[in-house]
Order: sequence, then structure tokens, then C-alpha cells
Amino acid sequence: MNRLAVIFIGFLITFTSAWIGLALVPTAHYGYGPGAASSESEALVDRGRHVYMQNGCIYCHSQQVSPRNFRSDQARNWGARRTIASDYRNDKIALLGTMRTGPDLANIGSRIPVAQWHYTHLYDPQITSKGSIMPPFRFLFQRRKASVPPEPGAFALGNGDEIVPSPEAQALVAYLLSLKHDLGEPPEAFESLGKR
Amino acid sequence: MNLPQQADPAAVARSRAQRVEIDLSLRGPTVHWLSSAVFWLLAGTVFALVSSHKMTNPEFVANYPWLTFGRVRPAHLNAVVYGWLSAGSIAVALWILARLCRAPLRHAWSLHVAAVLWNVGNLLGILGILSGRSTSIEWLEYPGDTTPWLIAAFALVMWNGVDMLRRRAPGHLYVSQWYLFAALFWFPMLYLTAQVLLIWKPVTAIAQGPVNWWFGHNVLGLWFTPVGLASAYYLIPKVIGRPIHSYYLSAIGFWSLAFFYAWNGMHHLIGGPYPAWLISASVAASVMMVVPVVTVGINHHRTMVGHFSALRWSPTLRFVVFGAMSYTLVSLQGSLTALRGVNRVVHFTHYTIAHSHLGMYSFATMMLFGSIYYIVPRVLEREWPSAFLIRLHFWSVAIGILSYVAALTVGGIEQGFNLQNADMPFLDIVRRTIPYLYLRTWAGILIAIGHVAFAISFIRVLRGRTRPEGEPTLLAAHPST
Amino acid sequence: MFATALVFLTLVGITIAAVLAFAWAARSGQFRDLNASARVIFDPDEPEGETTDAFPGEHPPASSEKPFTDHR
Repeated sequence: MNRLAVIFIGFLITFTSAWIGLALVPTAHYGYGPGAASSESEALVDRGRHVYMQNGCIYCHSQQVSPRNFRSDQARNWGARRTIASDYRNDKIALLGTMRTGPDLANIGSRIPVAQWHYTHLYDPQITSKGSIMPPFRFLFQRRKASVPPEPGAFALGNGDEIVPSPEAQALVAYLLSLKHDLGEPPEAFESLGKR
Repeated sequence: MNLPQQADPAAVARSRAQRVEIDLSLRGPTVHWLSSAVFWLLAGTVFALVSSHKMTNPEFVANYPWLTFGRVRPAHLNAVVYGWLSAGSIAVALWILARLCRAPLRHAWSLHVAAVLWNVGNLLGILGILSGRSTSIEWLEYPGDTTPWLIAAFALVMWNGVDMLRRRAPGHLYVSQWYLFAALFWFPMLYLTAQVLLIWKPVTAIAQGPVNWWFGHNVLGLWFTPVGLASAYYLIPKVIGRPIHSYYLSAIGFWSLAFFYAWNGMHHLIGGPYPAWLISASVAASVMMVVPVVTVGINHHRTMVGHFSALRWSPTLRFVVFGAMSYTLVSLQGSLTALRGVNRVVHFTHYTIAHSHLGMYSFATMMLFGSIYYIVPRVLEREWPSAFLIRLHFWSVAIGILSYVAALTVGGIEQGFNLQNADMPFLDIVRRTIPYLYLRTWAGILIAIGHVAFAISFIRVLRGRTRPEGEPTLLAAHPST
Repeated sequence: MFATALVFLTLVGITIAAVLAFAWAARSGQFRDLNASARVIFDPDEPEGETTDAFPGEHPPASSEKPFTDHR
């Protein structure tokens, strides 16, 4: 093993084998495509996804539901079935996540379909989820004395103040409400992982 | 054994002159790259402490968007991965290559240019993340328009590395040279694949997961690991003055690592929306990693046997042996974690964070510290200023990282079992992790103290403020000179 | 189906390539005298048996500087 060429060809072959198997084949299998915004509401959702990415929500929240017998996701009502590849066909980027410091968000749009809850939670997580360690995203809101009648889109905090979500906050909540990865037939056959 | 007991004085002088010439040819670039690395280490440490403190005190600097947890955390990761570890690895790799090829560096200017490019790329990348332009792809958060700087810099590094290999003195290729030669190609191939498929011309959403984790796992496996092992293979025998136990084992270790490590990564997606064959391929490869790891572990251990007392007097050896032992530990832990039965519990928890720090810190970073302690006095021809600072550095980072890993491993396993228990409300699970998160911050402070001691040593040795009576480490074995 | 076939064929191809490469390498002497390579890191100035690192201003204990003896 004293020739550069031997080493070079060797490590190139081992690398290429994995490159074909783990980068080329999955890419060729799923291909290029989608997720382009076509309607106005989709454009808003796209902006919201961008806010989600900007602020690193992915570091604490996953967006995938594990098979029923593998993890407790479905028992926790995070989804009615496991997520499968085609559930992500309208996403531009699969924000699958690797941490569950916070709960999974794959189907948060069906689980909590209430915009006001999300606004309050983002403004100060302690109001909706006492003891949470999620950082507050106050910088996405304006806070001021409640006006009568309330500004359109403003939410009362219940202590004489109200919060006005910025366009970013509105987009983010639109994105969260759009997160429904369990539409369509539940593919029972795919739930088998983990059954022993 | 034909030991050169009565070495020819002319040959001694010649080999010393050649070694000094090689070391000095690398002085400028090594100082440039290592100073950059130390800067990013400190920056990364600050980001780490801020994000760790935020997990127990979410109100901490919460009103500044650029300091929100989801930006500071990736800033930490990228600052240490690209700023500290990669820059440091590049400096170490080139120095070891020059030594083993017995080829002085010819184009020092190009490495200065590369260091500037590398730093600009990192600075723009970190600013990009903090200002909200993160790609949100783990391990690749730098915005796509800042990465060409890094790629251009690495191209210059590759050119210099290959140039040395081509000019190498006739004779044997040492095992460290195999690893470094491979790493010089593996890293850019991985990085370019990931940049193109994920950022410049992204493939469809679901196909991004495998590419992302193939890169995320193999940037450790095919970049930091080969450089770390090359350092261990060179420095352990060099420091104790005894050749590596078995060269046959090194060859097996190298080729099995090249084959199996490259197939790792998909086990980060266990339970995810992917076909079973894809994930199983990586699970199998991950388990097979036991072969290179045990091979390398036995080889290093057998080399050290009878010389463990050397750990008392050699700073380099302390860090390198700590790193080598962590390599065995983290790799075996990795093979275990890739098993579906283990993964179902510990995935998505702080256990993963502990595991990655065992790899990136306990192994890769400690290896780098050890190499820096060996290289700097030789390229500067100047001794480290203080044995106390080195000891302080070693003990605070060693105790710090072990507590860090222990706290998050235990906390993560508990968190994993709690997550599996659907009757436990989610916020209760969160609450139960908090004591471990405090322990993490305290361990982090200890590590930060070590880094400050290291930075002081480094700045003092650069400024030439060494003790007048201090004798260069490189001459320590020659009391007569 | 295409994916599985491609992976399978790749693996078969690589296995064949690896076996051929190994046979060639062994025949052409790539694995001859491997242990001599382990000694290229030493030179007359820093020979085998000599330690090369210590804390600044400190010397390794004399016992550790004994000439190297190979027990293998």
C-alpha cells in the first residue's frame, strides 16, 4: 500500500458505492419537483415556512409521526397514522426534525386549529403551556393598550393589553395551521415497523 | 531489530535540518489557520453557553430575534464544525502530510489566501444564520451564497495536500497519509453533493432527508474521523518512540472504515417516512463499524501498553489518548444506537446531543488539542508558556465533557422512556429534563474555563512571552542540547 | 424496483471490483513488508526509542527514556 493510485481508487470506489446507494438512488427515486406556491394562501404558507426556518423551530420540533407500535406518537394524538413519503409532496423542504424537546408538529394544523391559541402561545408560551421551555417570540408582535373596538387581527391578553401580530407572525401561524400530514387513506401496511 | 544505536552524527544533523525546514515552511499558514480556529472555538463556546442557558431560562435575551434559541444553536454548531474543527483539522492535516511526505510546503501564500476565504465564508455564514437566513438543514445551515467561499478555500487546501503527496520522498506511505489523502477528497465530495442536492438545486422535499443525514453523519465519519485517526497514528508512536503495534491491523482498519462508514447516516431516519431497505443499509453498516473501531482501538491500546506512564508527562499524549479512547466509546455507542430497538427510545432526545458531543468534542476536539500542543512549539520553535495552563485546560475540559455526556445521556434515556409512556403529559417530560439541562450548563462553564486557559496559552506562545528558562518541548528529549 | 435493482447491481459490482483489486494488490506486493512502513515516522535524529514530548520546562522521568525494546 505504497502507491497513491491504489489508495485513491480504493477510497473512491467505497465512497462512490455509498454515494450511489444513499444519495443518488433516493434522489432518483423521489426526483425533483414540487412545492411551488400557486395560490395566494399558499404564498402566505410559504412565507410562514420561511419564518419557521429562520427561527430554527426544527431544533426542538419534529414533523413526522412514527409507526403505531414503534413509538407513542399516535397514542399521544400527534397523528392518526404514521407519515409516509407522499405526505410531504407539497412541502418545499421536509422539516422532519431530530429533536422532541417540544411536541411533534406534523399535524398541528388538525390538532390545534385555533389561530388565537397559536398567537398567544408564540407571544408567551407560559400563558398556554405553563412550564414550557420554549422561548417567547415577542419580537414577532406589537403589544399595546387594548383599543375599543379592537384592531382587526389584534388579540386581547386579558389584562387590558392587546397584541398585534406582525406579518411574519401571521404567516407563521398560517403555516402551522396548514400542517396536516395525515390526509388520505391510512396505509395500514406501513404500520408494521416495530411489531415483533 | 536494527536500532540506530550509534547513529551517524552527519545523518542526525541532516535529518534534524530537514525536519526543521519542513516545520518552518509551515509556520505562517499553521499560525494563520490555528488562530482562526481558536477564534471560532471561543465564538462557538459563547454561542453554546447562551443556548444552553436559554434552555433553562427561556426569557434570557429573548427579545432580540438574532439571539433566539433557534438561531444561536445552529450558530454554535456551525462555528465549531466549520470554524474550529475544520480549520484546525486542515492545519493539522497539512502539517502531518508535510512531515510524512518529507516535503516542505511550497505555496504558503495559497494557504494564507485559503484561510482568509475560509474565515470570510464562516463569518458570512454565521451572520446569515443570526440574521435569519439559515437554510434550516441540520449541519448545513449556512446560506447557499456563503458556501462558495468555503469551497474555494478547500480547493486550495486540497491542491497543497496533493502537491505534497506527489513530491513525497520515495519509500513507504504511512497509515496517516492514507487517511489524510482520503479525507482531502471525501470532505469536498460530501460537501458538494449536499450543497447541490439540498441548497443550490434542492431535490424534492422528501428526498432531502437521506442526503442531509448522509452528509451529517459522514462529515464526522469521513472528515473529522480520518484526520483524528491520522493524528493518533502519527502522534502516539512519535511521542512514546515506539512504532504502531500492528501495521496489518491499520490496513484492515482503514479499508473497513472506508467501506462501512460511507454507508452510515440513514439510521437518523428510523421510524421516518422512508423505505426499510434504505434505513436497514445504514443500520447494517453502522453495526459493521465495530470492525474498524475495534481494530483501531486494539492497535492503539497495544501500542500504548507499557507506556501509560507517559500520560503523566506528555500533554499531547494526554489529549490524544483521551480522544482515542472516546473514539472507541462513541463508535460502539453509535453502533448500539443505530439498532431499531434502542433508537425507538433514545432518538429525538438529549441522548443524541450527548452522543454527538462525545464524537465531536471528546474525540475530535481533544485529538485536535493534542495535535496543536505538539505542532505549535515546532513550527514556532518556541515553548508553551505554562505547564499549569495546559493542566488546567486538560482537567477542566476532560471533567467538563465527561459530566456533559453523562448528564445528557442519563437525562436523554429517561426522557426517551417518558416519551414512550403516552400517559405522561408532555410538559411533565419537559419538566423532568430540566435538572439535566442545568447540569449541562455547568459542565459547559467548566469546558469554557478550559478554552480560556487554552486561548491564553495560545496567545502567549504566539506573542513569544515564554519563560526565559523554558526549554522547547521538541528538545525535551535531548537534555544535552 | 429500479432502486432495489440498482443498489443490488452496485453491490455486486463493487464486491467483484474489491475481490479483483485485492487479488491484484496481493500479487503485486502491496502488502509485502507492511511492518517496515510503521517505522518511517522515525529518523536518525528522532530515532525509535526516543520520546518527543513533555510539559514545558519539565523532563520525562529518566526511566521512560530507556532504549526501546521490542517484545514481539
